[in-house]
Amino acid sequence: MQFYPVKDSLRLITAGEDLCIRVWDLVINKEVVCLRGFMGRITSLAFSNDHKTLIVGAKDGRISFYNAADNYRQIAVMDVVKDMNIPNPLSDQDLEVNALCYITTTKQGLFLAVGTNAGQLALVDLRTQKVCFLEAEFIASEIVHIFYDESEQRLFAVNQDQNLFTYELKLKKSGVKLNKVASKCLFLDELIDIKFMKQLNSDGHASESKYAIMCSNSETLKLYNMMTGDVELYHGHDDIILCIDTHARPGEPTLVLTGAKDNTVRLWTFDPERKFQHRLSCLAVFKGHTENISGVCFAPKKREFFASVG
Amino acid sequence: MLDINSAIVIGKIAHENEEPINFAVAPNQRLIAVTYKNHLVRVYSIGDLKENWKPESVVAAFKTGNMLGLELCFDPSSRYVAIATSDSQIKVYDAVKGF
Repeated sequence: MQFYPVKDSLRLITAGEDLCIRVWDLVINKEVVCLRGFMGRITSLAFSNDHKTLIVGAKDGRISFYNAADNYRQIAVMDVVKDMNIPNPLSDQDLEVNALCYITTTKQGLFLAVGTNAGQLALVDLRTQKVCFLEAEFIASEIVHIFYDESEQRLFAVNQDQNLFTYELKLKKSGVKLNKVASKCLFLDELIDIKFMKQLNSDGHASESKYAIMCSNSETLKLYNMMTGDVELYHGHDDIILCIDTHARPGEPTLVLTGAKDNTVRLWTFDPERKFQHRLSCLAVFKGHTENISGVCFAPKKREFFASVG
Repeated sequence: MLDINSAIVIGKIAHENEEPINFAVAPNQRLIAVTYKNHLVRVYSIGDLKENWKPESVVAAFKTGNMLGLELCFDPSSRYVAIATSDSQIKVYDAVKGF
């Protein structure tokens, strides 16, 4: 639901579960336009900066454009996969448009930021109608909201896992790029386990680490930077992670074990010197349990061994 | 209320035994309207955004009949708030006068 963004116009645009968009004139208290033809729930409404174009995103994976100055005549309908070239990584599901927002820049033109149910954040150049930037893996869970701060030229995306991702719009001669500048955890649903990432110097002394690793009712492992509040998300498990253990040894990367509801144990290596979102990497996956893994722990002296209980 | 740069919560609107459903911030960024599960709508004056933030005042409080206010938005002048309720109706209120 959104008002037509011109003061005193008193027109309200609503999208309902009947898969229709209705435009209401609140001065005469009447519906003046009804837009039909959507094949999935309407998830997002946006107006262009000149207020002339209404852009609609829906669960049918299509983005529709209407001319608000011409009684909402349909201008175009674009399929995000076929027309805009956003790849669908989901094997068992169609790509859906969950959120969108309109971005205009003085030099580079008009763009549309699109968030999908596959956790993709795409920047579509409206002149070519193709994707010019795609964040495909990092956000992972469904994007539920996108908004753009024009004064700071920053784009924000929120995913279903309640993380907030901040991107800076970089305008270059070659085009436009989104640079990720922060990733924050807004809310942790049932924090299940947490471990501080202890590190040992070559002389065996523990060094201060600014990282903690945690799991919170999700298949995503979260590496939390306690100084900045940034969170890095690591994917691998197919179900909720239930337990974590870490092991530090002088002069070597810290190892991390995770056990999950997908009946597997994963071994990760942690290197704080690596760049954002590359500090943890999965070394191995251990299978064999037939039930949830409820506990994992390294042998205290020989980290070549660990125990898991399921 | 969240500081978007640090992701730190600077303050909250909280009422005992009242669960919020949805909210909308007015375009003038001075008002925030919240719908609650007890069918109440409160419109707050946002005031200064600083540490230990809390709304300056409640400028209006009214009921959406016996229906849940599921979705809401302000008009561009920040005077009116439209509220979609669980009976598939949309009602438009004067945000400050509450009718």
